[in-house]
Amino acid sequence: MKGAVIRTDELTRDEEVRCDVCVIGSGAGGAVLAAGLAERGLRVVMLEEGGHHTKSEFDMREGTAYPMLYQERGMRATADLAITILQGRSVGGSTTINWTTCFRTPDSIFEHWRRVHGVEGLDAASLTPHFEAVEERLSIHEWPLALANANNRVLWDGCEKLGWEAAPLRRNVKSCVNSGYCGMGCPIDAKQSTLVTYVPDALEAGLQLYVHCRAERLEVAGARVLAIHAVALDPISDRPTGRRLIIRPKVAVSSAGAINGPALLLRSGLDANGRVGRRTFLHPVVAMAAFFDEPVRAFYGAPQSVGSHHFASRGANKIGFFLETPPIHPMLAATAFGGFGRTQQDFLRRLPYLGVLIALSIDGLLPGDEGGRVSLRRDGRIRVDYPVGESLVESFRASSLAMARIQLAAGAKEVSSLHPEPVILRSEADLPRLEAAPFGSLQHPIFTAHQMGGCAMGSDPATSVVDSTLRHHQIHNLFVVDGSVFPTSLGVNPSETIYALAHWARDRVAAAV
Amino acid sequence: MSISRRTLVRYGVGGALVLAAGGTGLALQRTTSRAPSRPLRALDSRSFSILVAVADRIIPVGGGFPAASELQVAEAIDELLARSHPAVAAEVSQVLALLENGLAGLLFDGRPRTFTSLEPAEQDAALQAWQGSSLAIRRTAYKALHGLCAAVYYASPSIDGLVGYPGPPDYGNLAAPAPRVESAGP
Repeated sequence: MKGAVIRTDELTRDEEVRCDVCVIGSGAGGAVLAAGLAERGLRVVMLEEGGHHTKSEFDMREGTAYPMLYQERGMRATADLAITILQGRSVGGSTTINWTTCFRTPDSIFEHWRRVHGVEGLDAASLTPHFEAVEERLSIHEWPLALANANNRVLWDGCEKLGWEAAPLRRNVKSCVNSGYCGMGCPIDAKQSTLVTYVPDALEAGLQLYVHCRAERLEVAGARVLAIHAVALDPISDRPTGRRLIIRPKVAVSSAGAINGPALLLRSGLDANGRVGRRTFLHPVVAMAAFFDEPVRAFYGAPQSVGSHHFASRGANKIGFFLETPPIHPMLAATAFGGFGRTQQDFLRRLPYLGVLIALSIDGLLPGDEGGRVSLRRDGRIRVDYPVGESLVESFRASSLAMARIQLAAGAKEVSSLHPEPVILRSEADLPRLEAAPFGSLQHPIFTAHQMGGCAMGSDPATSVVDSTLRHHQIHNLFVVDGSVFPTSLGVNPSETIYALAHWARDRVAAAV
Repeated sequence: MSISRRTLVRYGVGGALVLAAGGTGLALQRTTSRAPSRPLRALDSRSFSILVAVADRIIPVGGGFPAASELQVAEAIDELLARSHPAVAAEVSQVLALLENGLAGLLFDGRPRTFTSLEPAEQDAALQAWQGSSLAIRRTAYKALHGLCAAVYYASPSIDGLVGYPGPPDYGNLAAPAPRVESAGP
């Protein structure tokens, strides 16, 4: 291995580093890009705010995983706490903790981006070789239905009975033993996250990876980034140790994700006339619970192996949604079901019999759907606001009804909403009560595992932050390579789109050095 | 964990008044003190004592479930806050002070009584009033406290058996064939 992982917190003096490219972030975007650049012989430095945690530390306990591998110790949320934000923060970024579901970008999304957002030269044809390359490296393939756990069978069987579309999902795994702990870091390196693929590839080719290292701001003069100012973080307290790092790259790349990336640009005074941090999309998630007579044991088995896009397009004025499943471990279940006292205990006592479906609303496609906003607080922390408007409330209600119908069709004895006072359904005759229940912000839990937008790409500098080659409109040696460049959400799990986009961006970034 | 002043402004005068009443006017009320099992790192002793009382109502003892205080839930939250941005602990303390000071008492007898001095049933009612409040700021505050307490409590391995969770598989010996998960149909 020619490169190195450097514990920034262990540096004994401040450092100044010169390189060809500095990539901020080691997730789906940063790692794929860095590997390609290092393999082209460029001197690449990568900064990662989180730690370099590997399988020996992945003990499959939620109490270990969330504080170690998630943003804000697992407590990231919108400012009103209405939406819990699940997002990774360690080497590998969210790929270390995602649930492995991979989709190519839908053609309709490329078309929408071209037509509405002026994205040029990016379509299924131009990305196909890049999808193929990352699918090969990450072992992305369809997970056999025969290995689906009972929770995913609910989605499959229910859709089949109702005549609704459902399909097996593709996963980035190799020698997977179907354990069910993808969200806590794969304990056997079966998940082909960037932690075990592109980051090692990049290190092999000479990458210098600084961990526990937060990029604080880009120093910009005229149309160029001169330096990236970073601080070392203490791994225990997560507070600056006092050591500073200054990177002087020929080209700077933000791959810090759709929340930390826009925040970095804002801290650097690069707000692109107020467009940075705007149009942040989350695929907001609502869930429905169901109890079955037979054990479901949704804590084991691949968390996601079946999905349904039956309701992805619901007409011109409605937000579409797609359906998948979560893993159900005690802490996540307890957080999702906010019932009080004994009610919550009685609910959780039936955990082995519990199946849960999730609906992900496809935000950002309707005219006027501006999603959320990333901004900075006076104390330096990041703030995320996401107003839940009427269209989204309608999607939450419609998707909850659809999930309840699937669960009932699959044989659930009792379907339960996650309202503080749950709506309990035992047959379709009970659906009107669910329809009448309150939906929206702080009425029931809402989650997001897909953060997108905030640094939109497009041809017009008046409406976007980076151009269609992912280069910043005004800062010529700055690229943004992650999900923040999406002008809308995707309607599918975003990791593969980010991998492929980063693979496609390799030549463009290399050419800028 | 984000009850910033700016958030309050967004929620309007009602929310701000509630905070003012909780945060200043009644702050001299005495809090029933609870001693931590180890030195506190983020919360002060008053906030800690309120948190202990809150945790024990959000997850009540009984039916085999140990008390939150037995699992040292408040100590674990203090630890988590010590590893987070200092403003988070400040906001959690602010929410706890708001709950403790007056609001709850005013609800029940029109006199300011601290949350920690209420009977368990009254504490439950106070928390549930927040959970179902028409003021979004109170629902946010409830969610912050519930989220912290529930996450820490149910992440404890000693709860696994009570919720029918066998715990993670043992991959200690990977030379042995990996366990195949049964796929029980619904």
